[in-house]
Amino acid sequence: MELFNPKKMHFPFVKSFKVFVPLSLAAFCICLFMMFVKPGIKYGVDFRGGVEAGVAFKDANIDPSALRKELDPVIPGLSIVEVQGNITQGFSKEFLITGATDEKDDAGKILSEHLQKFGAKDTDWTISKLDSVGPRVGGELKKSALMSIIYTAILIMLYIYIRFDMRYSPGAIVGVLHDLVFTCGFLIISGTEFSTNVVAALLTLAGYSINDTVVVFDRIREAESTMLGKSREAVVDYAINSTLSRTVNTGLTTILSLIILYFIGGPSLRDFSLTLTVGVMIGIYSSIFVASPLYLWGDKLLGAKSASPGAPVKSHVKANKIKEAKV
Amino acid sequence: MNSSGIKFRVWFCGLLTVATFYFLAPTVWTLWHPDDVKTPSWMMDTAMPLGLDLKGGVHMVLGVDLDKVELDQLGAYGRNIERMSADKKIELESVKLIEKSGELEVKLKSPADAEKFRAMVTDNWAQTLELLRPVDGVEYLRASPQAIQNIRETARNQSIETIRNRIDEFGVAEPLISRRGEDQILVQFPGAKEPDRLKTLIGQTAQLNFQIVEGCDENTADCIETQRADLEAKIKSVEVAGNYTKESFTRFSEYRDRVNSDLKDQLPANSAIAFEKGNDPNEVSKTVYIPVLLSTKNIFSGEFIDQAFVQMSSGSNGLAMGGDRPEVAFHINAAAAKTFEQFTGQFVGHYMAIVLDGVVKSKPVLQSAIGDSGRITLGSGAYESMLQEAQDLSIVLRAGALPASIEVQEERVIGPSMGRDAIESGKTALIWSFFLVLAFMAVYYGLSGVIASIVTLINVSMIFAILGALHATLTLPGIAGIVLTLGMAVDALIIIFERMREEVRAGKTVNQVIELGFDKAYSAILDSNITTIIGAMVLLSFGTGSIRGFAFTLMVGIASNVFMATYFTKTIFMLFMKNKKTLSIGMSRHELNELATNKG
Repeated sequence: MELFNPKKMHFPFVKSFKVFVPLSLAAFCICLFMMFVKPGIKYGVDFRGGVEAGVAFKDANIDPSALRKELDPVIPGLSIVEVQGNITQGFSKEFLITGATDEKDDAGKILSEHLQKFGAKDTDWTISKLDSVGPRVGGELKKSALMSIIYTAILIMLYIYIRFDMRYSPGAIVGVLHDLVFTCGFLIISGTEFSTNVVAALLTLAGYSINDTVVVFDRIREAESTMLGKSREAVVDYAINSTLSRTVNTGLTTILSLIILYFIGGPSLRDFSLTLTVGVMIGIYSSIFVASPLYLWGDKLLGAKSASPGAPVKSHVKANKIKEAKV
Repeated sequence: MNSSGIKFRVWFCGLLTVATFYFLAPTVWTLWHPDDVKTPSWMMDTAMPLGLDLKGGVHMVLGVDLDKVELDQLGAYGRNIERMSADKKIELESVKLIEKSGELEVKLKSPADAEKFRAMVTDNWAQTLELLRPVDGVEYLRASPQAIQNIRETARNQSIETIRNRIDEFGVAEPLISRRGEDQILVQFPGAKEPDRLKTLIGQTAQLNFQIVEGCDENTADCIETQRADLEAKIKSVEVAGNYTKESFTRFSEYRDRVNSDLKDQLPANSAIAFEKGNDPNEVSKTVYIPVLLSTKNIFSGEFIDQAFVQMSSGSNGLAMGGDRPEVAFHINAAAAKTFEQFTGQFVGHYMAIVLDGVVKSKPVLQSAIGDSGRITLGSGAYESMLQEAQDLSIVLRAGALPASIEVQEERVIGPSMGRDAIESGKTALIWSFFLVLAFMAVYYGLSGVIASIVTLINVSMIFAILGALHATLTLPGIAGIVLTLGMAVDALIIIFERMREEVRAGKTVNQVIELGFDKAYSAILDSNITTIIGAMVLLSFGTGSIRGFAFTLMVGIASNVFMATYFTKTIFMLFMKNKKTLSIGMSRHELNELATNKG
């Protein structure tokens, strides 16, 4: 089966940059605004703390998934674990419930209301304890997360500079940034909370995104030396078109796995798979419509100074001249 | 490629596959039999231990003694005041810490200095200390509310950070550590095997001090022995008088404090009794506590240690294990090395006790001044237990001291029933994901796609066989990682197949298509994966806990991906696809016919 045959299909991507680049930029700004000004990122229990409650039941056969089903819609960032040993006297099963609820008393009320289903309070079940918990992820970790982003950006730029050249670096970095920011924007709009699972998804996404961009760049690098005399725009168009099949297929198999995770992987992985599914789609978009225009921009800016040996500067200049002459 | 080359490739890949499944088997077995503790005897010990979310583990609530920290800090302020007063020529009669009210009591020698003293305090400690109203010419100081808050906050955060460092070094997978309430810390260890060892590791304050033994030097014969006998007699007498023994106290430190306060008048000024743990010479398994008199004035804090590691020394005691015994070597940071040299230089010929959390570890004679490095010997005992002790000691020294003492207030073992659901859904997702990816690849790339799916299955198995061999913990996000890898790992293969299609379109023969497809895809695969590895490496050095675990899994995955795509798959292609008329790569018959006519 073939969906994209570059011999028969050729999309004029570079032409469309005029439309997509301003659109991306505007959306990027909106996402940044949502992240840092209003409404801001909604942190889950891992980051901002919440409430921890112990609930003990008389009935030893109580089904934890029924409990989860009951509480999932009312307690954000719910997590339930079973306690063994040290069970409150007079009861036979106990669970530890944590959630991102601000107020201890509110959580008590919610629990009292929604556990009616399981019998009368204090006879069939009881709240054995109720505490507020602090965030699992401290300020030190946030700081080191920021540091790792900065170092990663620098090192990747350096690597791209060595293996490709300076003209590619901004596209690679901004491409990843774009994907992370857009995905955060989506998380804010959909009301998804930032949990450690979501952070893991974002980290995976960063890896996926840089991967995607580099594959396109690799083709541009190759075409620079094989398509001498052609304009940079034509080179980029060719590179995107010939990697299109790969970009879409890899995205597809990844999304396939993610959709399965979303539906079968259980409730605690839902945020993870949703974040990544959206992120991968954004990643496909960005490697074409963000990283490549940035390469063209970097090429215009730095092309004359630091063109790679594979792409003689002269031919590049000549190509532009020919183009101008035609116009 | 000549035939011996292909032979090597086939053997190598075949052996690798067998090894992979051999190493993976225990992990698969654990997932299907989560209740059984042991894997069958024929299996290697390479099952990935399951995380807290999959099989439960230990849940602990730790209490931090912040009041003590507050007092310690106030005491430190007191010493600073003494020092500065001496500089400013203000003579002090005494500086005392009143623990009950949390105040410093400063008696001045001459009331005329009062103004000068108060000015000094407000000049230097305006933010941190409050001057109270003097009573009968005695000054009282208290920490300001802001300073108290600051001290407590810092101590709490530092405690969390220190515990995290220690646990990370200890190698427990993905511990969850968080603040709880005002002075509690919540720690969860998934599938922790040694809760008791963890408890001691966490609980050690790890305050290391170097203290000079009072009233003894090497020139006085049998000094240590005489002192010991003398102290033991004194302790016995107060024990009898107060009607208590070591066993009457829950904490050894309480007993030590009681003995010291009872004997206060009989001991020289500025000295206190500390104990050294040793073995009874008559009965090796029995522990005895040897009292040592230590100077409380000639004391050097060990917080300047910046490196500590276990090394072997040939002990003169001639232990059973060939005389080698573990000890801890340490380095002192450059800033403190000079002062330490001065300190030790003063007491050459004296005994210097190495005191950890109030317990004397050893008391060697100072042969010469010590500069930037030293070592701590650990008494005697069985080799295994000494090695463990040395390892734990080096961990706590490296990870830093806890600013406050910590007490386990709540300890619970979490049951595995919740994890059972997670394992079930994880398994189902895994199987579905594999078959869907297989179906997609087969439809899109034909026989090559089927090969790709099988290679991907071996690839994912290999990743988890490696992780299992390294005893990395498997958590639910970990299973999610496998499912995701199934989808992502085909990437390199897709790149290769797309390249092959291009070569087919360019009219190359099947053998050329295979060679060129792999060759040309190589740079894209390499560069795209190295950039991802760079990110993972940074995470590995900056992250903690689960982030590090994630980064590590990612790196193993990438390395395996690249190898499987460029070497393993190529071998299969060389074996089964070479010299065929057409390459089954999912291109339409129509297009192939067209190409053939064009060529003809």
